[in-house]
Amino acid sequence: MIAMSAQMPLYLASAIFVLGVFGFLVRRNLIFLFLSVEIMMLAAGYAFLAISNENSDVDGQLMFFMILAVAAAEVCVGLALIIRFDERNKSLNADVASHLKG
Amino acid sequence: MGTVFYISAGLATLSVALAMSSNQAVHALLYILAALLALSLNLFALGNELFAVLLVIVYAGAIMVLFIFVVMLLNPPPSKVAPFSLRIFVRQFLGPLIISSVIFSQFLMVLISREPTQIVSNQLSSQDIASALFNDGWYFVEMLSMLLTAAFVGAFHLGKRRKI
Repeated sequence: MIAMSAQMPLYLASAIFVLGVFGFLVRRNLIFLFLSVEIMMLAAGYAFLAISNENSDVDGQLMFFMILAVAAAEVCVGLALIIRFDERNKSLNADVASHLKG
Repeated sequence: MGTVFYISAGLATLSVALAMSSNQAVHALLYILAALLALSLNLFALGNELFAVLLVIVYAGAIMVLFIFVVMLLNPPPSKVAPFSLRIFVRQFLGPLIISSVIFSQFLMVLISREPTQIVSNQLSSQDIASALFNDGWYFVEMLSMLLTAAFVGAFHLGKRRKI
């Protein structure tokens, strides 16, 4: 087993972040785009925890609290917007809303 | 405890990769749920047990459930349900079954093993975090409460049925 260094959790955080970015760039469905953003925020919060563990600093753990609450608020409003988008355009494809009016 | 960190890390990455490559929204959401459980086990192996519990309660228990409800609202199942096919069921069920059984086995291993946690990166207890949140970080809490109120009002206003 590879010896546990201080950077192992950071590798995991970057792997999950890269998967989230890849999912965001490839997908067109709005729900998948939003899910990829959530995964990216989860990875960032995990990186905050990893660094806070290494330095024994409590600020990183407070940041994780903030990221958690901000993600909750963002999901709330974002899903309401997705519901309105679906009502208006009858589709969840992000390419549908590619023209500005006026 | 050392192997729990690596196995749950691999499981979380595998789960997220399977989620990003699935065709249906509900499959992706359930794979993300499995990834959240694996990450929670990972945080517990690192010593952050408060955030392991918070991840399960808030992220997996509230945010992902909200996602699943909205997906069920927007993509209703077809009115004519196809007859049950064992082959399709096994193919769809095999991935989550393997992932959740490995997570459960790691959980049992953590419960049963007598040795203390060997990878303890975290030196702060929950009391330190809570006192920091209460003493120095009180403005964080106030800002977050205002943000959540704004999100609540916004979601309520956006979700109201309009007569168009």
